[in-house]
Amino acid sequence: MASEKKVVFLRSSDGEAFEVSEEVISAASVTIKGMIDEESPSRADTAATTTLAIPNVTAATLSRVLHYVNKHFDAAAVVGRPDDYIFCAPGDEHPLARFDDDFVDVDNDTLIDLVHAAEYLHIKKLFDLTCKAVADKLKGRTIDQIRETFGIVNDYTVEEEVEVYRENSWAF
Amino acid sequence: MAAPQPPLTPTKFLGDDGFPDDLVLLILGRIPCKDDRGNMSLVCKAWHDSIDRLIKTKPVPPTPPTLPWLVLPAPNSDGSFRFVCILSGSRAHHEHRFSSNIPLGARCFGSYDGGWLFLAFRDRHDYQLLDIRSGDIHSVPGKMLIPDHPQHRHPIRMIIESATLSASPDEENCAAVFVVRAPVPPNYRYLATWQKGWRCAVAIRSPDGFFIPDDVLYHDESFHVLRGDADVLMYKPDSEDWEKRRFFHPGGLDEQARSQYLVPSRGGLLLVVRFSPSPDQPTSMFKVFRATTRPQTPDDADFPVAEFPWAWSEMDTLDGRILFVGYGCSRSYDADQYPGIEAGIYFFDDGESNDEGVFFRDHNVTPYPCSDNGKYSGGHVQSCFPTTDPSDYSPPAWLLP
Repeated sequence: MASEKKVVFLRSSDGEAFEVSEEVISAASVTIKGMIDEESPSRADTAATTTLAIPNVTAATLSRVLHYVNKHFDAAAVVGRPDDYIFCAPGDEHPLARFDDDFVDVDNDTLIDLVHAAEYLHIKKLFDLTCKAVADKLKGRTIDQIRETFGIVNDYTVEEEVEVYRENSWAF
Repeated sequence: MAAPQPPLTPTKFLGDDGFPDDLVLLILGRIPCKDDRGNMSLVCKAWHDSIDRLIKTKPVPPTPPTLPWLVLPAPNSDGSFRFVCILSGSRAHHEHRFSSNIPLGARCFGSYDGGWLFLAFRDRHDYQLLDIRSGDIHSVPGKMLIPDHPQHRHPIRMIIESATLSASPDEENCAAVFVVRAPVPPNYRYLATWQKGWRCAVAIRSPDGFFIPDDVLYHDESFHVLRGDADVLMYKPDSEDWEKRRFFHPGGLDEQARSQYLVPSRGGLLLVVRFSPSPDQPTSMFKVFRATTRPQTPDDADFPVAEFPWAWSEMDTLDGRILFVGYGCSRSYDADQYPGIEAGIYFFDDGESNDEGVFFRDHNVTPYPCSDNGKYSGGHVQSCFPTTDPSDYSPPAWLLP
């Protein structure tokens, strides 16, 4: 029925259930669309809602993923809704560019969890966004900056460092 | 938003056994700069070993050929330079090990493939060609011979404004053409040629006399000199032969044209014209023309084909080119080799070159503004490079791979 939007529940690895529009999550996630399609025959003509187990994703990550999915894949919410204006700045290439920037402005562990979740759920736009955000933590950074960002202690001796310099290929 | 705090424990990423190789490969594919990848393997042994293992066992996405880096005078005008890399998201490679090879306070006035920079110094009259990678220096004379009599030439000081080379300075047959200012009326502006080993450059005159050269470029085995009227003079130093190519230029030279560059591209020659609404305003637009031969008909009464056999034909698209413009050192690349980088024209602030005062005042030198740097793409100017302060020693330059 057009007037009643179907919803599904997604249960995180730590047992929390999240409600999301079936249409929206199907547009976003190839993995969940596949699960729903498998469930469909048994759901026909029943009023029961479906709960899908997402064993690889924690509640904290899943809630972030669904926030992203609702922003990007709910056709009614994407552009032009009055409360979206704060996410749009003049000159933004995409109306949600600002939202995306803020979305990935998180600590590394959270970001890496999002990469894994986007890959598992097969949400290409989110996967591209999060991989790019990881790459941005590595591009045009000094070695010390990368160590600081990723919490790494230098275990090279000066001689070893020189050796790696020599074996690498460089732009110039 | 507040910056995330540095983590206390290592992020579960490279070097963590649980992080899938496929994800590392996908992330590496988004890091196209060789130096960024090189730095990653210097972070720690575990990162090095992961990357090394992947290179040996998996199809690691290759890095595309290096694009020119912008050599940008540092903020605060402290005499040093930073290297800005488009493949690194137009960020600076801070503390790059080669940046200290450029002496503090040098003026960069040209570039050549393989990391060569032309340098000038305030306290000396000769010039240097610096190999940024090795730190090797070739000396370039500070004087040119100028004829004062049919059988006699005398040396005078020259201030090189822009320069172009025929070959690497390591090659024996390396020759140069310089656009030069010299304190000799009535023209003050000259062309000079120099070959490796010469103790002086030599002023050269085209067969039809003095003119103001807009840009010089070595292309297709001869030096090409662009005149203000968009005609091109070709010069072969070995034979001292000149060939003049007169161009029909229906696009004409607009009053708002700020500068024009010759760019070698896909075997042909482009004329790139840079516009700004007024001399003190930033770049607003570019037009690109391709050198073509004109058909015999229909002829144009004002510009007969017999006299103007060439034409600058305006291109309505860059056709996938990424252009870098700079006097004497423009280059062209193909965007299809650089995923995520759109076709466009990268430019830097070469302003001041029309201010006669800059070069003849011994002190109170007008700063190089270093602000009008960016990319022109899709009809818009984007200021994609980091900002810096005006410099009192050098404009920006390209570092050519």
